[in-house]
Amino acid sequence: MTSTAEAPKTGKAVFERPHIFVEEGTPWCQGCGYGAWSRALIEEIERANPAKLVAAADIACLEYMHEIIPGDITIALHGRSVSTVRGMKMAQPGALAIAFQGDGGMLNEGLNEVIHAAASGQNVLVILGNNGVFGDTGGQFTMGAPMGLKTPTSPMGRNQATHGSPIPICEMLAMLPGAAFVGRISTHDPAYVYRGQKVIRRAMEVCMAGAGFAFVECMTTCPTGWRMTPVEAVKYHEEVMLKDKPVGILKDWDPATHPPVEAPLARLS
Amino acid sequence: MNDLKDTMFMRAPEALVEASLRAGCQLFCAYPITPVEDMAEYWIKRCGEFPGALPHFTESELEGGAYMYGFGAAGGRVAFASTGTGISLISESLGWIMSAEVPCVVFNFPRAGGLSISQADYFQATKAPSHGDEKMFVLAPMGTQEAVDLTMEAFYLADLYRNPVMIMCDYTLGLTMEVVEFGPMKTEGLAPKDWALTGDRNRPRRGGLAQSAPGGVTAANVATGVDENFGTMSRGEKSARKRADKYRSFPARAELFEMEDAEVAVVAYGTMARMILPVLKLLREQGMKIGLIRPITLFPFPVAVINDAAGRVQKLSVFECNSGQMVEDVERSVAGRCPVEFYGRPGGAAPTPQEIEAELKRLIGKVEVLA
Ligand SMILES: Cc1ncc(C[n+]2csc(CCOP(=O)(O)OP(=O)(O)O)c2C)c(N)n1
Ligand code: SF4
Repeated sequence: MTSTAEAPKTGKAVFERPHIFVEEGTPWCQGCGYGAWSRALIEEIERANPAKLVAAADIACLEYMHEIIPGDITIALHGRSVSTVRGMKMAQPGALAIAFQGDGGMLNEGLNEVIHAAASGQNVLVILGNNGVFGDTGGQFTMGAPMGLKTPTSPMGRNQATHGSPIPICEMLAMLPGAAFVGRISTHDPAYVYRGQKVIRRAMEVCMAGAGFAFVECMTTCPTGWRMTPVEAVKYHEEVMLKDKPVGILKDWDPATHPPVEAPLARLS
Repeated sequence: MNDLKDTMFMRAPEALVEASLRAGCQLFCAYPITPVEDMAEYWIKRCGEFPGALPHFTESELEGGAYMYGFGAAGGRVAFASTGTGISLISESLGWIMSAEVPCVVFNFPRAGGLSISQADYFQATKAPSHGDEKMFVLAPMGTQEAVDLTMEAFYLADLYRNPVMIMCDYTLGLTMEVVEFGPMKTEGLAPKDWALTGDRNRPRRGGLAQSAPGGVTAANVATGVDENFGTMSRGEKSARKRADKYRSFPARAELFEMEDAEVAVVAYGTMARMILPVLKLLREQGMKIGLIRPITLFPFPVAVINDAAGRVQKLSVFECNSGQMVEDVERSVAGRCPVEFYGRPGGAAPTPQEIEAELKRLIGKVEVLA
């Protein structure tokens, strides 16, 4: 057992759990990448402080967003959280609307939905947690998996002839005029967390301004699905997952060419 | 709102959209499939005159099912329309919607492979609109006026019971044009939707469908079709039992024609019942004691009405445009009290008046059919 040193009573806290987290602990596995970027996202919700927040998360590891999201959330069917949140947003137009989907849900089961959403330009924020595998069902490769990834359903490694190529969803969505903002982040080390959080902040401000469809792909480690230790997973993530996947803002909102689709969203005072 | 009158000569699909608008429906998920494309077109043409009704044209049925879940969960009034094909596609969403107890209205125009009448989707609608233990209330109108009235009522019942309600039409009704009158929508007993996921972050956290959590923090409410993730199995069982009680509490309905002294009774719903009625009247004039029971709620099925009738007639016969589906519900309702026969026309066929007459006469024993 390790013991935690107590902070000096008079000291100034420089790092703490965001008070907006309403449950103790994390629902995800040790070394899971979801924890880092979801924390960044919750902090940015706190900063943007929308008066209304509706969200939907696919059934999958990301469904546990319901434990931390400071707003109303539906658990959507596998592959349906984007259209579910679009429905919620249509009923509650003044709300910040966020969908959470894994790569299995988005790139396999529900691919048409995110494309239609981006094409529509509707003011929703879609977050893709991309770990290359169906994490929740034990780590089979998805259409987001990098070439070479060995999983029980690609035992010799993902290859073009048998499994097809990964779907570059950010680049595809950025082509659509309806997409106001597209970004990709990773949060596997503190420097990436810092940069990634700024991308999430911008995406959220774009939606708070009423600009329209915003998309952030969060490159995520899944040590359980990849059958690696958390440390091995970070190494694999840097060397393979992030290869050909530049992080940062791929398409920023330009009000001159992309007028907002709705009025700015109200904030809590 | 009304540049149109309250009495109009209309095609049934359009009349049902008009009724939906008048019942306060705000989102109508309709994807082209005959006759549903006419509903989509009518909605887009008319919705601008109803504040809050959205001019959204659903990209696909799968998305329509998900919109219905999200829109309804967030407190909006929503409908979906299709034939059995589209109902199959949104079946997964329907299961989710039923277990999360989200109100919505579903229009169904079952048809055979080609474009003709069919009642082949009775099982789909009444037994298994989705995986799981949940049920949808199914109302089966016989004509356009009744379809309009039931539509207005369906939005009310959906909110009252917090459950999807299906209007079970058929392809023939989809092509019917009749004079219809639009009345006001019933609202008695409808409580504000305090369960709705409005996203309002000033609201305190709640229990129930909503996730309960330590006090003093902002609202975070959860709607879900799965319960096991959010509590023990006993919580899941409790909510399933509550839903089962709700299904049982819904009053079944049927209409009876000439049943007081009937010796033989026919059971039929929708257009099939409508085709039988004039023939039945004719034979009544000739002194043949035939009656008709027309189930209006297909789920819950009017078991008691049929059981009661079975105790008074010599036999019952079920007429359907399929290979035999509702007949199973009739048999379990009759529970052995009288013989049950079946007259079915599957594959898009419908009986002619002459064929109905011959079958009714055979039933009453006036004509012997060659073996
Ligand atoms: C229609 C349907 N098919 C399959 C499943 C089973 N299922 C649950 S979670 C999941 C995998 C999700 O993987 P992904 O979307 O990548 O999210 P992750 O778990 O990796 O976060 C699957 C296939 C389901 N729930 N519904
Ligand atoms: S299985 Fe993978 S994605 Fe799911 S919680 Fe564990 S590490 Fe995270």
